[in-house]
Amino acid sequence: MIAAGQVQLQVSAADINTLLHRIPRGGIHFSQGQFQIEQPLPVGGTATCLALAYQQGQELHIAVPFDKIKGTGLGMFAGAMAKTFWGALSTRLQQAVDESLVRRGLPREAVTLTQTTLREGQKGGLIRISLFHLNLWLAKRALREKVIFQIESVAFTAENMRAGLRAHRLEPR
Amino acid sequence: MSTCATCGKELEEGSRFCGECGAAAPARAEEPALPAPAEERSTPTAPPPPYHGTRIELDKEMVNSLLALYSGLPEGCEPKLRDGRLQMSLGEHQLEVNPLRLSEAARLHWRTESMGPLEVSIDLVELHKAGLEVRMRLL
Repeated sequence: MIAAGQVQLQVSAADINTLLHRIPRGGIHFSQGQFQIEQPLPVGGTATCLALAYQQGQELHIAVPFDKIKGTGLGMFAGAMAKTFWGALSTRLQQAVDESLVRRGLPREAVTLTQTTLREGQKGGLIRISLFHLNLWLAKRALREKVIFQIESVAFTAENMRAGLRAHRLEPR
Repeated sequence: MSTCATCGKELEEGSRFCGECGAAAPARAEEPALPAPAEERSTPTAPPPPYHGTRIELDKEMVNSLLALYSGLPEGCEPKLRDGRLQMSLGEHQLEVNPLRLSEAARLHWRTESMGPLEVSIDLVELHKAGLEVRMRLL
């Protein structure tokens, strides 16, 4: 493989929301560098949470701290809201992710959802997106596209999302 | 017009001595210096504000790789980006395009399986020394 240059991709917050709002039953909005996710609960009512995305080595992490979850119309279930919320959200996300991954030929290990202690020490849900698996998938696609793009960095700021990609050619030219 | 401090006679413009009594004319007030020519002025210009919108930047190596792979021209004839100029050799002919810029916004119609139809406004396409920059907005 031969080095073929670099690409910097930057997507504005407005354009991120244009794409997010096209997801059916999405309820996801990007603002000030964070995602706001709305999730109807099986017990009735709706909860919203904040999700913070950051790169951690070869993974993109989306952290959902439970202490930032807020709900309406939950009544006596407010105390168990966090667990209920994460259960409902992770189920919805897992179904959507599995369907999307399979359709595109990505392995299920590319996206995993767990409940854990986050890096700030609080309890929360964690969505882990494997850049390693994404890059493997991109490399396979290059067999017909002549250029392999590999994701090197992903970052979210208050204004936008930035990704750095490195390209390689398969054949000398 | 100034007057002689010794005899009071009116002095001619620019004269250094009184024509009547010979006394030295009063020193002329310091004329304001002319502003320096534009190229010599060191007026600091504020850097442009950072651009937070959607954009794709390809470095020079990426631009030349894509030109080599997809131009369809024989090796050695493909266009190359050098010093912000697009250059090409076709036999005895040497071609150069400089600058390469979009004169007005263009509309891109993009359809994806997952997102449906998307309309994108391409607001800027600029080839420069470091590579290619494309600025756009989803509509």
